[in-house]
Amino acid sequence: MTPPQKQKIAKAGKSATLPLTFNRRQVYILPTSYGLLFLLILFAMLLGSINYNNNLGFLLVFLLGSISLISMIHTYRNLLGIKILSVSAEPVFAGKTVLFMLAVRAESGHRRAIGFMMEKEHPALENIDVKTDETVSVNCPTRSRGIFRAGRITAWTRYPLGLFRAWTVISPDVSYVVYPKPIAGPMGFGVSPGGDEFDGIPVQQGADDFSGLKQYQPGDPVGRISWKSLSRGLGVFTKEFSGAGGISVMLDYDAVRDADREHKLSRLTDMVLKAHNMNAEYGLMLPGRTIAPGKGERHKHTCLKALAIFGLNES
Amino acid sequence: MNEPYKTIFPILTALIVAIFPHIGNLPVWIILWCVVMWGYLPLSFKFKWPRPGIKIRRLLTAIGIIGLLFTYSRRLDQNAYLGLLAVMAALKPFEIASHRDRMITVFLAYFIVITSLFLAETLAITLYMLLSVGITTAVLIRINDPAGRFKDNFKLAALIMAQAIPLMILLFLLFPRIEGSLFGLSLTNTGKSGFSDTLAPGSVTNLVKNDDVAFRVLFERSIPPAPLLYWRGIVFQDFDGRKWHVDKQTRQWHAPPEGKNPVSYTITLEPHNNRWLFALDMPATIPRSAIFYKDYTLRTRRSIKRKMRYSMISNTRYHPAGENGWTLRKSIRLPEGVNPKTRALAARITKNARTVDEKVGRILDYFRTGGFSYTLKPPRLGANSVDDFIFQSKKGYCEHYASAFAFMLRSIGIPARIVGGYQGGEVNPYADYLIVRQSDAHVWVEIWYPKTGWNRVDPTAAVAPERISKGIRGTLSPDDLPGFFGRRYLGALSGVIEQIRFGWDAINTRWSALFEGYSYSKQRALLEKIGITSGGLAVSLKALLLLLVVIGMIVGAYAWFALKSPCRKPDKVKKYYARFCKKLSRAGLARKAAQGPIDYMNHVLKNRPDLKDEVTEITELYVRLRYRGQTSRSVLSDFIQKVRVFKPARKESKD
Repeated sequence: MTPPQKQKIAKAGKSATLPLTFNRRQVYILPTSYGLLFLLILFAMLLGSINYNNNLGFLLVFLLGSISLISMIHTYRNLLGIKILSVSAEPVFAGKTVLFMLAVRAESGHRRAIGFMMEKEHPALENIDVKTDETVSVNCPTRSRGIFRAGRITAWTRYPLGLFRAWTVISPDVSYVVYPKPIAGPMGFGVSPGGDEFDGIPVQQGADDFSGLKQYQPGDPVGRISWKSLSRGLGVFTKEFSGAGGISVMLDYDAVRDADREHKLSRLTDMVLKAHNMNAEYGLMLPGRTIAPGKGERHKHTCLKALAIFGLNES
Repeated sequence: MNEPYKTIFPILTALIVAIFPHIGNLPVWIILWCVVMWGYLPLSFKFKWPRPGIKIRRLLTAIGIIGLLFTYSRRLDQNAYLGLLAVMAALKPFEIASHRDRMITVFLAYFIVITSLFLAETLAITLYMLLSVGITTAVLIRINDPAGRFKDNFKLAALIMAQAIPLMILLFLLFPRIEGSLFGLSLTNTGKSGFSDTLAPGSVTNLVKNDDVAFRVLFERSIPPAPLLYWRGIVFQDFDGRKWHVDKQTRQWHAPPEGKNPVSYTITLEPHNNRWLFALDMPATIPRSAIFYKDYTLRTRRSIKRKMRYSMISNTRYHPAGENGWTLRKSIRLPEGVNPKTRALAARITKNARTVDEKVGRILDYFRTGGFSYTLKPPRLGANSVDDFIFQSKKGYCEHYASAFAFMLRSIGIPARIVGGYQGGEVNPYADYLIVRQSDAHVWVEIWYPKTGWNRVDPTAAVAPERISKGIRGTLSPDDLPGFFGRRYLGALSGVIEQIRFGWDAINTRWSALFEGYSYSKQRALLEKIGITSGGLAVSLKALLLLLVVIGMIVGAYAWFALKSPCRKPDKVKKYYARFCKKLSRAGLARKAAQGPIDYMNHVLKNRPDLKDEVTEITELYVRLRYRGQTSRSVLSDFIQKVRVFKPARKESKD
């Protein structure tokens, strides 16, 4: 596992505050390789027209030349005036791809075929309708855990003729959390603080009492979706259980039998997820930080975030 | 929509539209090749047939190139280049999986469109090319915006073209032109019909069957009367017993003969693949790029393969200067032994005549009274063609009469030669210019008079005077006339067709004068008009500079409008709503920071029920404009108007 990249966290370039609008100072434009090839073709045809003194040839060469010149304005304009309202990213586990959701809007005119990207890749081209909030997503691969500032997002377009490429680079003031990569294993803790040795979380049979259904929310464990009510067409509901046996576990960093810190964190991550899925009450003990037992999405995030930033300089 | 409809079919359409006008210049196998490839592709999508993979595509490319080598190995010209483009364009649609391939295929379509510079520069072709560029541009937009609608693609292509056309016109007018050719390459055109450098019985008759335009003439003043419209082109000097030949040794001459009654005109000559230029008898000036010869004919340096325009002055009355003895001796030379009966006849009928004039008159009288007739369908003649004509068939066309006449004159020692060209022409009623067709082809005779020099004598005028006064169409029976089916079978409708033909010809001629005629010299004249005069390279540089400045200004103006306006429009709504709020706040009803327009309206209505109508209306319009996306111009102007006239009284009476 690669060591966390501290420098990436520390690196704080000029960042833009949102919302921001692409203006003339930020939008650049250059011919694409196709544009240069087109220019070469036109030049060859111009030489032909001069040689044969052919007015139709001149006319066509000049028409195509003018068209490409005009297309430059259209390309530039396609990007200008687009507003980025917000940028957000859901936390992901290391090694997965973080998805930035950009809320964008164009106050005037439809915008066609605009790509948003972070790395060199081929993004899907987006169309932005006039005066409508659109959401576009940008992918970025992650390698290690931590809290990172969103990198530079490039918005670009070649519309309409593909002869020119206009682009602008934004570095939104947005950070995202990358949890440690979960590594599956037994729910073993080695020697617990009390000195007793046990494997797994003691789950008391029958303690998981079904208490009712609640409206499904993104993030609820799939295993708890009430398929029965879904198949009846009632909607998506999640089964709720009371108590989860009433047990409460402390997931202890020092109790994980592993030499490598990153590996330990990964194991703890896995345990947090398992405990969450079992609807158990769990707490987290890290050197220097203890999170009291609890449950729910917010609690899970608190624990995972603590694991993500453990041992790193929090800025 | 699936892939083929999104990009492949539009690209195919662009290629087909681009290649269509070239069909005539492509060999049959390439046309079939294109039809097969372009036909297979859509069918393969419909019936799920396999599409060729990379290996088969390579094989097909190799076959195509071998085919091209076989077809064009003898002559590598623009048709070979076109053939190569067509063969490539036929295969390319099979590999357009990536954006790069698609872009290159569309460029190929543009390439084929520009290749039309090898075609004629007619108005129809020019309009077709504009259409073709429009379609190709729409397809280019399509592949850069695959999610868009075709209609929008076409609309944008039309908009871009409309914005580009002013720039195009500027570039066309101001881009520095050069004289002559850049690399010395010229087009190889299979020349159209026209005179050749020999004249045999039947050669003019063949031409007359052709209704193609030979040239068009625009006179500066009125069109001269028909009997003066002799268009001189070639002089046939040597007779070999059957054919008349152009004298290859004719020397260049410095100046045309003197004359009177000058006529100024401009000729637009269709390409005929030979060097001669036609001019009204007798040329008084030598056009640029032409050489004047001792036999009073004009020729260009290279054969004429493109439409050519030249302005001239001719003298309808002329008195050529003296001729050297060598030329005169050549002009009475005849081969030994041919046409003995004609020689005897000529000697007999001119026996008692003393002057040249008298002798000429006697021979013409013989033609007039000897039972000769004028026809396009003369019988075949034997080895002694003149004897056969005069004593047996007595039927002939202008070349028979001219040949017999010149032969007889030479046999009695009068220098004579045959001049070939055209006689007459049709006046286009819509534009007052003359259309001279191949069917107006004519030959006549020039005789050397000791006192007045070379003079035109037309034996055809003696036999069929209406040929000269009424032209070919008034002379021959409809069955003999060349031309389209309609003249014979459509009766009254043919008149309408004729009118349409004249109208279209008039439009085309005007176009060709404006467009094709624009050249180095016209550009100089234009630049002079706008004040750029100093000679040589400086003019070109100044023109280029001017061009850059003007284009920079236009593009700048476009950009300014295009990039400014999007920020402006919504502001108007905002601005006028702010004005509305300000008016209300002056009346004591200020809008709070967090108050939405509806809340604000309710607040105002509670305090000032008297303003109900206006405030409700304005707020409703504002909400429509701002939040419901109804941005139509009428709603906006309505809103602005209402805000303008809104004048809330300061306070209500009861308050």
